[in-house]
Amino acid sequence: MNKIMYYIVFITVNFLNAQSGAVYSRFGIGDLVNSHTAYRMGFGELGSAVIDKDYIEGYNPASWTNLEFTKLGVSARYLGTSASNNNSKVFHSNIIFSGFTIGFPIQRDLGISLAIGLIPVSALSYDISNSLNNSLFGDYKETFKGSGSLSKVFIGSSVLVPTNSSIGLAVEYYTGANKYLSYQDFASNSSFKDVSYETQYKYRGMGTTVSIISGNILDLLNKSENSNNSVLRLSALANFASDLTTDTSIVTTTSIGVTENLLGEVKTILPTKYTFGASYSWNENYLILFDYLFQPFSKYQFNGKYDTNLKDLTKYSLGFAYKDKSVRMNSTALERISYRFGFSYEETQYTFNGININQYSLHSGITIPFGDINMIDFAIMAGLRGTTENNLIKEQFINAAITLTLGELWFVREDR
Amino acid sequence: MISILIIGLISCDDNPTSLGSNLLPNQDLINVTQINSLDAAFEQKARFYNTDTLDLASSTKIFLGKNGNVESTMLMKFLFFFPDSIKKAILGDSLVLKNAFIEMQPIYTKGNTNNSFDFTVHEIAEDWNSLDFTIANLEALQFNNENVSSNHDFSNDTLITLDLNKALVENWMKLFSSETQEANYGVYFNFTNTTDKILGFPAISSAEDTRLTRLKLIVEVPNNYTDTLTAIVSSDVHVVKGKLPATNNNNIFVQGGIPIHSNLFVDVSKVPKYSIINKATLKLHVDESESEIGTIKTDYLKVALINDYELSKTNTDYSVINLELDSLSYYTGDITKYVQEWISTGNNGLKLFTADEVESLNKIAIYGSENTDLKLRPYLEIVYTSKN
Repeated sequence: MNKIMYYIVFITVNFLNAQSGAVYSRFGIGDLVNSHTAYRMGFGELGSAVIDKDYIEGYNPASWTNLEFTKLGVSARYLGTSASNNNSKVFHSNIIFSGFTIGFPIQRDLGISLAIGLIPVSALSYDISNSLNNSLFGDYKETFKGSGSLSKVFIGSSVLVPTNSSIGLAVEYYTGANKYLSYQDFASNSSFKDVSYETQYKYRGMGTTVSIISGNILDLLNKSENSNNSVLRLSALANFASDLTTDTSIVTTTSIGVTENLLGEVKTILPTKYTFGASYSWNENYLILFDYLFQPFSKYQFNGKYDTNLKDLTKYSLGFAYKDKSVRMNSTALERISYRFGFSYEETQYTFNGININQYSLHSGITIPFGDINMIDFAIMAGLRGTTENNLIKEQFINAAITLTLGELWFVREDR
Repeated sequence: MISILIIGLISCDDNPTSLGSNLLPNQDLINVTQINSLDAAFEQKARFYNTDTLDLASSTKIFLGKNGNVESTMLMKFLFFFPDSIKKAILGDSLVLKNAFIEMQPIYTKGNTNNSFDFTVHEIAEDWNSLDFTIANLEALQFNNENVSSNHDFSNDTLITLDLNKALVENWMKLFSSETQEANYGVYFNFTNTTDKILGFPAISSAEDTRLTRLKLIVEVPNNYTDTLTAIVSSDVHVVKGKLPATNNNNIFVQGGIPIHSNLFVDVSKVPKYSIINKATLKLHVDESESEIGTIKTDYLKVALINDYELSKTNTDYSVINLELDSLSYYTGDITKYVQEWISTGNNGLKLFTADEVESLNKIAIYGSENTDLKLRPYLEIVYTSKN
């Protein structure tokens, strides 16, 4: 347990030293964070049709209906990217705290659970530096940095309805800030002082997630010969964000100090995100997942303007999970480990002069239970994004995630 | 193991490169622009005015004379700090004052050195304080109309001598011996009507101890000894009067003593809002034909940011900046902070004055904002950075 706490503290501290990533995140609100837990990263980042009593997380509120214990989940991610074009190559890494969720069952028979949490929506991070020379300034350097994130705080609930389907609803408050820095750094012997512009967008607004996960479709189809305990579920999820109020300002560093100039309040319109999924499990040990995500970023607007570098996002993910549910509490740790694999293909929201930025990735993850109802998840994904065509950037990335899930017994009256 | 892996991966982070700079949106890019008031035809205006707020008590020179638009008179006290033996001799009436004369060493001249110069000296009849003496005090000053000086000798350019009335000095000696020197009010120097130059002498606040004005007394104790006693000026002040200069060239002026200041407003609205000023250089051309410079040049002008062009109220948030005399034809200096303030907050212009305005009566004519030769007008060059 002490070691686990060490890892949590370690990752939290390193979060403060976050490094830079791809310049693609400069557009829109940044790179989207579809999966904030190691659990989902392991099978392709989505898995919207999964109901697992061992996990609590913010992606799909309908997945909370089987919750037996109070669960607390805390996650962090490592992002490592080697970016290149036809001329150069650079490696960046980044660590982000990717959220926490706490949920507890209210009425188990009715599948009523309540959860709250803080999870990331998007992340912005890049760092570009040009060494320049002109007759006026001599040698100097221009640096462009982006940093920031958008997150949401949510509170939501789930309930079972006839046909044993699960319905979930979460109300969300979006908050965060993105900063775009442009910096001139002059030589130490120059008569010019360093100057910088930092444009800041501070977001706030409400949102909602509505989702449903069906009961076992095979039962509904009266498949009485369902001898291997097969379960087929379908899911649908929609995530609506109201227009985000965005305070814009520009901070200048000049010879007379730092000045913040408020530019005004504008609207950022985030397009609705839709996810449709299916899961099929058999023999209680095996699970196959398929998901489709669609978010029409062609409708994204900032201050009433569309972004020509954004288009509709689609993502497909296919996952497989294995968990031996026949093992008992006193089994060895190795016997209790569960495994996940996945593949995903994403046509990202980014496009440049007609060339789309697509992403392919492979996923893998494991769950290591400890104690009676606690577990730690590790996941890793590796893939490619983008292209070097037309002087664009191709990224080879490897991401890793860790999620700690702790269980407690709260608010539940035990039957006597 | 995981922590070691993460540390390793982070430590591999490369330095930022230009990779991706071609993809940055136009709005992030920063542009550097050089602009100047001549080519961009900045609107500008200037005015000059006199102000009576100058504290001359700290001046290291005192001035006497009249030249051009300015005149100055001065007051001096010579208190005695002689040995007790002298005091006893005065009390015993055994000390005879044979002669009393003043030596003055000019260190500054305004006006042609060959111009006439003379003055009268008068016993002051009331006390005065050099620390707060003003024009109003001078106009109310009680003094004896009798000229107590004689034998003015201007033959030496670096030393002026004059005899002082012995009766006056003997009275000062008695006040000294009776320890009532507070009744020694000193003398008032006034220039004559024919005077057409101004001389400056070291004041007691200067470090020029050896060149301070001094009163020398030739004394004799009959049948015993003859000695020369020296009393260094112990209190001095000067008062400058003047009027605004006239100009035929649309000039503005700065001048010490009176003093005369100028305000300058340059419209920098052609620099985009939120721009960052990398460098702003102001150049002011001197019109030598209307300038009156003494034997010590004014090497620097000072500029101060002002909150109100008409009221000339100084913005105390900013320190004063020097413009340096570059050759004889113009003053120039870096006013980056001022221009940044104009862009960021608001532009009310700046105030010009000479850096040596308590030390000098130099009149410097600067080509103004309405000069027909655009190249001679105040010139402001700005290098700024702006975002798209």
